[in-house]
Amino acid sequence: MAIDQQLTADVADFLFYEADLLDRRDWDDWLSLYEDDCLFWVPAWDDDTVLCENPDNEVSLIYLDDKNRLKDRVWRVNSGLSSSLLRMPRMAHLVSNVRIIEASAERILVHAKFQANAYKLDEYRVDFFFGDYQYELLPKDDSFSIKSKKVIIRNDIIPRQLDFFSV
Amino acid sequence: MKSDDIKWRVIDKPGETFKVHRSIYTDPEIYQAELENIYESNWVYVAHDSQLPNPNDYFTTMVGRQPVIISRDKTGKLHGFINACTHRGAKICRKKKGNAKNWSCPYHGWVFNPEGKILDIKSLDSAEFPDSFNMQDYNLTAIKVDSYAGFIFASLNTEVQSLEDHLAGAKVFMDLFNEQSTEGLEILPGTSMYTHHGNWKMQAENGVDGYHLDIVHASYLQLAALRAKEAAEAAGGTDSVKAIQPTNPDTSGGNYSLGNGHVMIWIDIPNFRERGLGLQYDDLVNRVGEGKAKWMAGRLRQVMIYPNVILFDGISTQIRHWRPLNHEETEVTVNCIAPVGEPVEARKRRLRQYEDFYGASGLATPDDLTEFDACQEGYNGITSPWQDFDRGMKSHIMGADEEAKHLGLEPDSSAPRAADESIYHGEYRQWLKLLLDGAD
Ligand code: FES
Ligand SMILES: [Fe+2]
Repeated sequence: MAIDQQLTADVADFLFYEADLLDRRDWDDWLSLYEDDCLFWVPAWDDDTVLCENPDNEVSLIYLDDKNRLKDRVWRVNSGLSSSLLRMPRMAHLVSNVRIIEASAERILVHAKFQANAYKLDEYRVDFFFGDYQYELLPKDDSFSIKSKKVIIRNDIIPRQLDFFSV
Repeated sequence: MKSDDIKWRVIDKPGETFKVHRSIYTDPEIYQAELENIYESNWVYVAHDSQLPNPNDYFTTMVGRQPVIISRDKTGKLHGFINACTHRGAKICRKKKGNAKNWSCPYHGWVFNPEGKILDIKSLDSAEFPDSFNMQDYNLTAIKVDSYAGFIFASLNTEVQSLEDHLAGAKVFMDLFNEQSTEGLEILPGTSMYTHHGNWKMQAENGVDGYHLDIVHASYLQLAALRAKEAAEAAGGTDSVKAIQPTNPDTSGGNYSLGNGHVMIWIDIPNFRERGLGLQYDDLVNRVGEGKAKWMAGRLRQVMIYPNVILFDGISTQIRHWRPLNHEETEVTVNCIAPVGEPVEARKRRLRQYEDFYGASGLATPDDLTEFDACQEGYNGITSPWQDFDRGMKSHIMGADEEAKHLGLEPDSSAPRAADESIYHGEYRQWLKLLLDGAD
């Protein structure tokens, strides 16, 4: 398949935009990127080499099966009731290796790599997760919307917290 | 440590007060004594049967500071060994789990079987060992391993009391957990590990702490209620989780001290029919009877088996166990456990409820971990050194209450609320006993 350079650039720009919204904690604009019937999924690892693939019979770290569940997480940040979320880390998401896996007029499958860096000022710590993003995007107006986002975390011992903004 | 350096840190005056000195969470010498006398002299939880179901399966983990192998031999019997080659000490099994008829050490190739017996020493003929050399002296170093109701424990102390004696009253609740399915329980694929700042004893306290629930988890409880309400009104709301909502632990439920440091809390769950097991409640009643079914499906139970595991059966079902990394850092391993042969819908429900609440990626656990961090920091304020566990002492009774009698349980003590802090007397009496037993 010939690489559609324009599409790749547009998709990459969209992923960078999503990452920036998370870093800037612009939750409303971040949510607006997602379809109502979206999936946000972070599977667990079964052991060193086996990733869980069946969320109905295997554990996921995060499995949010529509946009209301993403809104739940944002609600918790905004609620002021969660002590872990009252000490939000300063984040910088790096996104790279963006590749179009499949593209049609209906949908675009995209793979990318990420490293999400967290400076936890209250704890004097720096932590980061890295791994893979796998998106299903839908063409929408001049841009895209997110039908599903699967995040494969390669360093999965969790230092205290893993939430939607951590990856 | 000398017993005089330990004793004063727990003040136990029955009917009057129960206090611990906060140095027990911060003192590296206490931590060393705990490793030796609690983690490395006693039974600790290591695995569930379903993690090594077949002949020649093995599973590797840690007991205290020490790497161990848990193996199942060809007849199905469990064994345990220090995971260090008897030659020059290399770890022999290096994967989390596997299946092998024998284990060949990757360093110089000595070979052992899953019963720990040495089978081969490379180039033995040309070895020129002294005459006193006897190959059978090089079998792997065995540790004690035993299981109860599918839960596997290990001990580095070959003189340790039997596992059944150690588990004492906890066995009643392990049976209740295990009998939810006629086919037993299984750990579902997908393990998560997390680390936190905070002494390991905060894990042992917090998992049976009903008092913090509506404060630390206020966001979770409000969100669960809001979600249910919006889904009921249907205007765009959805609820695939159907989070369980227990009654108020400050005024209901109860707690038991089960002996040898084991303790548990329970609370009723009004919407228990939304639970994995609750979806099949009528079948369960037919099989085990109303009384038992109520305990299994209708009551949240969190059973702390001293010193390193809690069996959670309430919000969903979780085995949470931990090991201390040092006096102020802890590593926690969590698994979802479920009845074998569970219907698809119930399994899904169980998983969604599990992921929603538990684990460092859920909506509740990170808030607990934040409080451990805050306590560990606060404990450095050693000018204010004592804390008491007096809440609930007035209604705390020795022996069994009515509920315990129905269950056939003979607890050391019973109390009528899940939020009572007198529950910690059992833990810290055992803590003190083990440390004094091992003192100079
Ligand atoms: S260390 Fe195992 S064979 Fe040498
Ligand atoms: Fe909690």
